Amino acid sequence: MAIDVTLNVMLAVRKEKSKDLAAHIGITDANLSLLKSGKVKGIRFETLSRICDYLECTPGDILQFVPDTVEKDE
Amino acid sequence: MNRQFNTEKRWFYRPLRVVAAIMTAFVGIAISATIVTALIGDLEMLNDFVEMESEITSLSNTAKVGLGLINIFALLTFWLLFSSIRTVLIYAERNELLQDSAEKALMKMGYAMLMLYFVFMSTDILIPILADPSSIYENLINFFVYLIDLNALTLLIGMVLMALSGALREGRIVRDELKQIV
Repeated sequence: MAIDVTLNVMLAVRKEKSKDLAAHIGITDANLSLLKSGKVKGIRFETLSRICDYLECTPGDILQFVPDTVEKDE
Repeated sequence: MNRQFNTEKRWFYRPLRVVAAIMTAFVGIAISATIVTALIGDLEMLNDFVEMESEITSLSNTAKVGLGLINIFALLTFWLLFSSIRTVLIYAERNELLQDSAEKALMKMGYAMLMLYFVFMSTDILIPILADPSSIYENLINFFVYLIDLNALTLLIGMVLMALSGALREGRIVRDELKQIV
């Protein structure tokens, strides 16, 4: 069971730069990079809300639930 | 405001380190002096030290070896106690008690307190037995009292310090996990 972060896809769809998004959210580029690669333990509602506001999307557009069976198949 | 209060009060830890050094050195020297003079042949200090009913007049070879080992153990204990107290106080002065090293120093202090109990027991019970095995029967009640007297508090304090060290470790893990939440 895992949560897949698809923020990269959404950034590409909206044609936005990571740096601008990081500045809007108020986190460092390094932390945004970690978030994009899914190497974080969690995300604050506040951060999620700002990302959604900036990219005009919903949490479901940047976070995806991957069940165990799919992980094993992969 | 709380941080400012801490900063103002932190100077207090420096003289405490000096006090810890003096006290541990003093007790270490006292025990060493007692045992070394006893090994040389002067048993006056040893008799005053162990507070037993019968007087020690001579030491067997076993007793001498035992005294030497107790001395080494006592010095090791007081050194461990001093070094751990010193480290914890240094971190307390810097307000960095959540550091990994502070947690380890606290654990060492816990071990030192447990060892201290055995040093006290060695001087109260083991030395008299080693010096005069027949004193076991004369001082049987005293020996049981020594096991549960105020010295036993060092055992309790040692365990509390170890629990505190564990709490610091858990706190640090939580803090590290929080850092991974963006």
